[in-house]
Amino acid sequence: MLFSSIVFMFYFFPVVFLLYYCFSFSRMLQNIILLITSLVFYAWGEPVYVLLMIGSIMFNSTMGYLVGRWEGRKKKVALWSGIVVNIAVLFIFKYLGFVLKSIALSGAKDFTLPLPIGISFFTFQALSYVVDVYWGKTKAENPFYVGLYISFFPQLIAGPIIQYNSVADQIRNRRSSFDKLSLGLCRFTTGLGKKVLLSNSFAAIADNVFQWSAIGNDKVAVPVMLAWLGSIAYALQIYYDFSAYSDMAIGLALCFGFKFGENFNYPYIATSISDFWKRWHISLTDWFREYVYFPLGGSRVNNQDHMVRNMFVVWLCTGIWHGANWTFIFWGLYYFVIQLAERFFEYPQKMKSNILKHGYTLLVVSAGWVIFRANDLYQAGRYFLNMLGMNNNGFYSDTAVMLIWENWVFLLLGLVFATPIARNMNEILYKKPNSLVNRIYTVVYPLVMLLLLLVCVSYLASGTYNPFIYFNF
Amino acid sequence: MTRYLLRKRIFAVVFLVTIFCFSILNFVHSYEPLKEKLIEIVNAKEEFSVKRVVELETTITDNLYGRMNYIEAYGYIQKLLDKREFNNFNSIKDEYGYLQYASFYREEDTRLFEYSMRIKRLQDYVKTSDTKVLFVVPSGKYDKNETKLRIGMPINDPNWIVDEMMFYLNRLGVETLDLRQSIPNEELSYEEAFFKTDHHWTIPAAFYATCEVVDKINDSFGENLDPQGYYTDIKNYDIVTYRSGMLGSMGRKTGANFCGIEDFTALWPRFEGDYTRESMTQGGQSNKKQGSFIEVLMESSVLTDKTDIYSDSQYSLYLNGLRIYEKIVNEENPEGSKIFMIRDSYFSPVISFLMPMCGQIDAIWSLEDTRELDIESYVKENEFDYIIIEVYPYNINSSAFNFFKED
Repeated sequence: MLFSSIVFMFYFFPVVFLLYYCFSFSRMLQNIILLITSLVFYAWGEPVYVLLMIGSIMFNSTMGYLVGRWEGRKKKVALWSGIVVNIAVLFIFKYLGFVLKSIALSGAKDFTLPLPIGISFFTFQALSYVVDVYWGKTKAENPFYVGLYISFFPQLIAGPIIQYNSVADQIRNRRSSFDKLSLGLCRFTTGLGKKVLLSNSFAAIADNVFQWSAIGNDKVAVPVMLAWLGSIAYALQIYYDFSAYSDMAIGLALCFGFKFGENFNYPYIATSISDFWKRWHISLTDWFREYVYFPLGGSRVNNQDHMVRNMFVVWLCTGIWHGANWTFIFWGLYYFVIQLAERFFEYPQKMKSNILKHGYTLLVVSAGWVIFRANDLYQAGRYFLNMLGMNNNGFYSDTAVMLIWENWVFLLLGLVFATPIARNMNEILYKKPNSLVNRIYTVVYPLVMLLLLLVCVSYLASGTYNPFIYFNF
Repeated sequence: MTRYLLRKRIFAVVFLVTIFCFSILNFVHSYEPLKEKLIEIVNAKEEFSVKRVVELETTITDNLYGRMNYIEAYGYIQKLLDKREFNNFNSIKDEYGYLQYASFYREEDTRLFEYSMRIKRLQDYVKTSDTKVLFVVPSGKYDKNETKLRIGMPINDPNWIVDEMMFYLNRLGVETLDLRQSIPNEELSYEEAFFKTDHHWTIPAAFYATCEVVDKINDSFGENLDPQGYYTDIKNYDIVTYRSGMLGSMGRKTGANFCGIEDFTALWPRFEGDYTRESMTQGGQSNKKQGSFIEVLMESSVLTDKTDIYSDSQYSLYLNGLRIYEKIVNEENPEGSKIFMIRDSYFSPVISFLMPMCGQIDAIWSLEDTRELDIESYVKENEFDYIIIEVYPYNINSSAFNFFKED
């Protein structure tokens, strides 16, 4: 089930909300309601795979219990069994077909299992639980709480990836309040607007341009202007798509008393690639740092080769995590090389001009998105040639002009809101609570948000283009 | 802090009141269709799958309370933004306000020769029973001489496909009628021939096309349809224009705010006639009617005051839209020409106008699954005088030629 859908907004959410607050007298009953409705939420998209989800909950609860109970070698065996089985399940559903195809085994083409929605997200959360118990960051919980942690519907499909130790206490002892609810609903509506109005508009541009550059097996030359527009539109699409989902997830969690960490922090204003990855999909970066990079030794190693190896492993895993395709692996390694270069040569820091730093970062990130979006590496290569005007293609494109003309309002809003301008304005208003502007804003804000909500519903009711990138991860 | 939270609190109250009130209204409104869908899903023997979820979700969205108001709001926003494309290029509006199909590219259809061969095989098959075959292609809405698009708009132009197919058919010796050459013309302008909000041609254009078909059959096959020229004379029809009464199939998706409402012109015959019509709907329901032209071949209920422009199609005035199968007999001229038509919705009014000049017309909807009807044996058993295959340019694909397949 998508948050940005009629069924969620006018059926699922009101029912869950009503049930949840009817049982305000009992935290346990509220948690039961959240667990059951989360499983219904998952089953709505994957009726069969809800069994996989329940299996994952039961298995990881058992492993967590054994890891917590046992000591010494047995404890390690339980930990590694948990890790191996989780990774194996992820591998079978997500990567086996790709691996068989890559090593050219006969019949491999036919081996493709439908991907359970959000498997990468909930598997990583499950791993986090087992490892946290092993490290003693938290104690083993009963399957009910583990189930709620893994399947809690706001973060189930596309994160943010919550580490168990950060919500263990909230599951039992969180406090709901009207202020939390208010902040949550505002955040949800903002996310909905970002997704429905901005991301979907950029998707219409990017998808058409990328599809046009690869019709069937043919790689078609696309004019330079159009290629750049497609690349920029995709960069905006993926940011607004994913950050909108995170906004909606964080907002919904607040409605039910949970406080999740931020997942994005204006990544496109980063001044280096290292900075970009501190701002983009923060929960995934944190997860890899916490559970892969640090256990391998991180940066605090005597031998620099080990640091390079550790970075390589993390970026390879990051690439693989995003999907079973060479493009994702290459995309991960691309960031490994760039980050390594940044670390050794310290070039973004050495640049004096901030404009140069931003320009460099945006250029590298945009190029990365081309690899990420392409169907295969060959298309990515041809697309780069299109962007550089080296694919026997022209520069000017009527189609690009038309696409900009049709979407200029959204492109402008997309570019503006990718910077912290709204946050900064809020801060200014916050510092002047009694100013006239603040008073006017207090009256106008609810109306604007209501209008935003209604506009989003009108888009959804019209059955407008509504793809969702991270749904497949 | 207080004011910061105050505005959030106000919105939270507004949000919750809006969502809950609307959800209750919506649930009451869509209760019946939802119940029906759920019963259908429960009674279905297959397991609850993603397909079923999608069906349920579609039912929920389609029955949203006040859905058309939301679609109109969406259309209005698009208009405010001065957009010409609608919903990721589902359709585009040209500079004269005509909705057109859009496409960034069209994958080359290399099987046009095979489709042509299917028609040729059909022609050879019925040759022994002296049945003549005619392939008719109606005018498409996109006309490069008449359509003016905003720079860079990706129009879906099927004309080159039609050209290639006509080339093959002519070489294979199949009689063809390319109505693109005659509609629009000096007597019938583009504005009169096409709706702004619908993909079909207008009723006057369909009448003009009927005359062209009659001329073609008479000239090419030595037939003498309408010897007095009575039924092909527009003076024998009352031309009635219904002002602001039409929102076509494309317009119903975009809403009237985006494309406007237009007039609908109908031709009411001044003669009566006596016809019998048996038809079958997509759902398998059979229907039989007998009576005059207006009673049997027209559905005047689509033009009453109660007509809902968002759900009723005025174009369905003739034959009430498409049926997967129908058999119409002219009781006043039972010995007249017997025609079998493999057609789409473009020919619904044409069949009506042609009927007084023929003895019997059997018609099937080419794009629908006609598994109940084996075309090959049906044409052999019934010994028709003519077989007319009509395909709208945008409908040229394998399913439109569901006979004599050899690939």
